[in-house]
Amino acid sequence: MVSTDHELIEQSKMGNMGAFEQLIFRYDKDVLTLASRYTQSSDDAKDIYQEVFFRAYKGLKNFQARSEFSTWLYRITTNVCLTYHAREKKRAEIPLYDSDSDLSCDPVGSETSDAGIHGNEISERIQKALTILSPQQKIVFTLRHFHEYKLKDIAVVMDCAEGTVKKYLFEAMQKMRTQLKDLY
Amino acid sequence: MKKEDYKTMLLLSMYDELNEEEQSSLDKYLKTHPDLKSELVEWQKFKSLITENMSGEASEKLLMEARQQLRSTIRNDRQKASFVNQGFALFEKFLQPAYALIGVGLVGLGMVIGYFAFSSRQGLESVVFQSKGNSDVSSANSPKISNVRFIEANTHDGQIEFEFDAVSPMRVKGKIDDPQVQKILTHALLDESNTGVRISTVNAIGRQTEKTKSVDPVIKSALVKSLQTDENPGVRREALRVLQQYPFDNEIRDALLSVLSHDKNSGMRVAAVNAFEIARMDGNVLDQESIKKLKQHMQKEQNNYVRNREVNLVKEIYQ
Repeated sequence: MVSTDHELIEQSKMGNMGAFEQLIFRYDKDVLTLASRYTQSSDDAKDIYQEVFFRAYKGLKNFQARSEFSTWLYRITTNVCLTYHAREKKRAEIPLYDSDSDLSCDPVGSETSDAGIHGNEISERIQKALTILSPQQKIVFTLRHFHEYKLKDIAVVMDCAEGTVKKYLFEAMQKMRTQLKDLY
Repeated sequence: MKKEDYKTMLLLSMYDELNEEEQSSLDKYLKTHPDLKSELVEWQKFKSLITENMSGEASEKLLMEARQQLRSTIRNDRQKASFVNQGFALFEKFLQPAYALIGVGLVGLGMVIGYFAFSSRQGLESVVFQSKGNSDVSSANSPKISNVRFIEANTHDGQIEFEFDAVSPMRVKGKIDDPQVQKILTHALLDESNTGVRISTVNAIGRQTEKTKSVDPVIKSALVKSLQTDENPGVRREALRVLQQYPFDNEIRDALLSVLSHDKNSGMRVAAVNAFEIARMDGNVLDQESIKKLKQHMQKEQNNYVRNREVNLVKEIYQ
């Protein structure tokens, strides 16, 4: 019989590591995918994964089930992603891109684009365009567009008003569209 | 409502975030505003562009690596927590003046209680192994008392209530299908931080399996997990060796394919190819889906030797 999240949480709180693994393995692929899309780096995604589940492991004893376990986990993931960005920003004294490829200026690669552009190149362009978004815009865009989270659920996960989430999504879409307008 | 509001609604409509009333209002507005309708088409094109080019999930390989790393982190933390944190917590507690005096007195009391509680082996063992059927359990040496926690230090009736951890070496003898034995073996195989203990556990399971020729599903799953996630290649190798003693089935087949796809150690991948070969010689037939996966991996394999072995294996399968 398949155990419920609640049962696995209770067993995990009692120190049953098997139950803890069973619980997190239900969600960890989603978390890793979100982290990969957010960071666009497998190493950074793994770091986020470690931090999220280590926090979950440490914090599970205080989990009161006032929200779904998945919501709690996504809230941790969101916080870790936002902190990760701050950490990266602080660490990165050297700009990620040369000044002549500043993404805040003209659409990325607009001079080189043509109808024959390959799928991989498009992906790269999208990934680059994602880097101009603020952390909040990026997390909202990623959760809504790729993970198909409803805006009200994102608001719960991010602990902010639904109107704020809408604003982040709209800003993210506008910025992305400006950067990629030569591709469609 | 202003035109700007409808522009925002376009985007929300595309993500199916409008309620019925809002959607209907937008639809009406679009009928009379073709410029906004073409704006919606542009947004939809943009959305499709992103979806078509950025829809992949995290790979299984990355997931396995992340899980392996997490297991190791938690294992280290548990080890640290049990030996360091509890020690510090106890130390800090005893540094507080209120506890200092009581503490000194209770250490003596604890020793007396410890003596009475553990001089009778039967009492403790019956608690730890209540459900154990045919296992022969006996404790050895004196228990170590640690982490004394005061529940009620100042009661009116002059009694003091506290709890503590008592660690005592245990000896267990039992069959491999005994749930209590399985619980300990699984813990030793998957959660022990000491690599030597994990290898010894696999070897003990192997020897037992050789003798009894029995297949226990719990132990088998633990071996498969160890094969896929243990950080040490020696342990993974031993787990694979023991699994080869079990009848070849889908669980083992999937585990071997997982090793071929995710294990960074080329020796392990060669061992997985060997295991497939032995299984084939024993008369086991691989299904088409598995052969397809094997071929796919063959094309991705960077190591020439492993790739040649896989090519030979596939050729032999088709002979």
